Amino acid sequence: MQYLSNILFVAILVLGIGFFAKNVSKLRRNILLGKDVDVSDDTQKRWRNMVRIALGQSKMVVRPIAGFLHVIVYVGFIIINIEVLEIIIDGIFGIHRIFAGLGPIYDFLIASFEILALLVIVSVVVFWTRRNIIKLKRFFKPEMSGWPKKDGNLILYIEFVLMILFLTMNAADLSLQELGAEHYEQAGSFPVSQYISNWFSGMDISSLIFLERTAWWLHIVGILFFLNYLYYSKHLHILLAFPNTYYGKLGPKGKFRNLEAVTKEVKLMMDPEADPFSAPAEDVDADEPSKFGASDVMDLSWVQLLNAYTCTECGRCTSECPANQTGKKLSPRKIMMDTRTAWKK
Amino acid sequence: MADTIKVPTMAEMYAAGENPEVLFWVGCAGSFDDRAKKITKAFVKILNKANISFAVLGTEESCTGDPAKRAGNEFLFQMQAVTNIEVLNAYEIKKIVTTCPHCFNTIKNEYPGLGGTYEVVHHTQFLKELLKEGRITVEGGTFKGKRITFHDPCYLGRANGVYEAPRELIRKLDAELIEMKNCKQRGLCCGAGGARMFKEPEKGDKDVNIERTEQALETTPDIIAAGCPFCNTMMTDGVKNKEREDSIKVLDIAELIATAEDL
Repeated sequence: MQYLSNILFVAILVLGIGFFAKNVSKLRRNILLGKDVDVSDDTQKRWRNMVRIALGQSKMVVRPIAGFLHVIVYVGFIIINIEVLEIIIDGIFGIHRIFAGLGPIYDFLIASFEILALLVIVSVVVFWTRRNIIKLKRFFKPEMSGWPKKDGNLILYIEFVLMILFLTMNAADLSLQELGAEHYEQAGSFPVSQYISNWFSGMDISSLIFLERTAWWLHIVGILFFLNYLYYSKHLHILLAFPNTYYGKLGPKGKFRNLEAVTKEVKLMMDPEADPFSAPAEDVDADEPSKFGASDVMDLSWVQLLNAYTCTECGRCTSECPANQTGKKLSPRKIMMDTRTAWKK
Repeated sequence: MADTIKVPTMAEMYAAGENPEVLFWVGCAGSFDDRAKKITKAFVKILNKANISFAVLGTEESCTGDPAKRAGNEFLFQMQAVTNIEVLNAYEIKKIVTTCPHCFNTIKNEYPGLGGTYEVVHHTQFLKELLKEGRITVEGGTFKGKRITFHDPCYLGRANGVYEAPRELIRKLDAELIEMKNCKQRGLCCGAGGARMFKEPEKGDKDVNIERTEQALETTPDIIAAGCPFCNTMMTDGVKNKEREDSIKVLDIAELIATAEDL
């Protein structure tokens, strides 16, 4: 019986990650259904772009308020993942705080997770306020009603709850450490949750353990739920931002591609040697004549589809768009959102 | 006496066995639009003053195909492009300067794929080079202390990352360069890009050029400087819409330099 929780944990973990992996392979297949396009040039510059834009958040800081808050949530997300690693190892082997042996480094890590968790909570609240109280214009365009609006708020709620659970877990743990409960040896430094643990002062060991375990389980199950939520949400950008920036356009923004099929026709027209009465050779296996340009989602390349899946509907494109600013119906964000919706069907 | 301006054509030069240092690509606006012709004249005066050996294609120059491509007619674009490339290659053109950012973008970025590879510069880049090499000099006099705001043409700025050349030239005039709310990477369209020059705008709350003119007027300028004949038209219309054409001038960088030189 003592291994029950370990087995349960592994089962949930495998299920959570397995289901996500299945959806990712589905996503990959969907994207690669797009028209082929050659993006193998200048890999060095592509890596640099990815590091600068996706990892380095260089585009986010153009708008300082949203940018600053986004960087906090982003750093929080990455750093707190170290904690998730500990939780997973603990869960599989039925131990508690495996990294505690790191001593002062562990204290530092836990302290920074806690501070980041608090900052994430603050940022999420500000984000929510911007969406729901201040009602920033770019979140209230026609395409932002229904699911997209709900999606945006849901993500904030989930992040908020996850961070609260994390801090509750630490607070209960700290109380247990102070009471000298079995298994809860002194480890970590808790600059934020020490204030929460004050509220738990009247509780006995067993209810504290219950609280700590509940928060621990809900936290990891919540993370697995959130991981699987990504596939159905605009929040997929946290993963796809990396390939998206890697495969992004490298040349000058003003440069358009010349359609090769058209070039062939033009060259033929300009060629005095061309036989005006020639008929194409009879070829049973000949491909269907290709279409010029794109009139439906089926005509888009896989990079364009990847871009649509990456779109996180922040609306900065639309709010910069001169046509949209002057009240015309064009909205670049709507194009991306509609592409994704149409492709999913 | 009407002053004569010397503009050699490529055909004349080639026939005389000469090869100009640079080909001046005039573009449709610079050739046919009465307002933009003044920009062409101003630029040619500077070239002549600096003794630059240049030529134009004259009647052999056709549209680069930019409006056709941006409006979606790829076939027409390529027909026009290939025709131009045949002419340019026949004259063994190496370097092209143009007063139009649309021509600049198309020839620089889209012609190489069709067999036309040249060194292409915008006239503000070219003038900046001449200044650096000491082939022209610019003195502040006329524009000293004037408030000048520069409207970034999108095909020069955001499309090709050229922001500094025009600004450097304005600073040389001893003028006070003031930036609009949206400038450089976040500059706002004038409303004419993407072949929009040639059609009425879609329905909306406001025309784009009015929005941009309002941003320019916020800086209380004496002069709105432009680097593109289409932007020039749009901003001029915007200033007229606000009935400020008596106090605010819309001028191309080439015109500013030519005026400063008293050409």
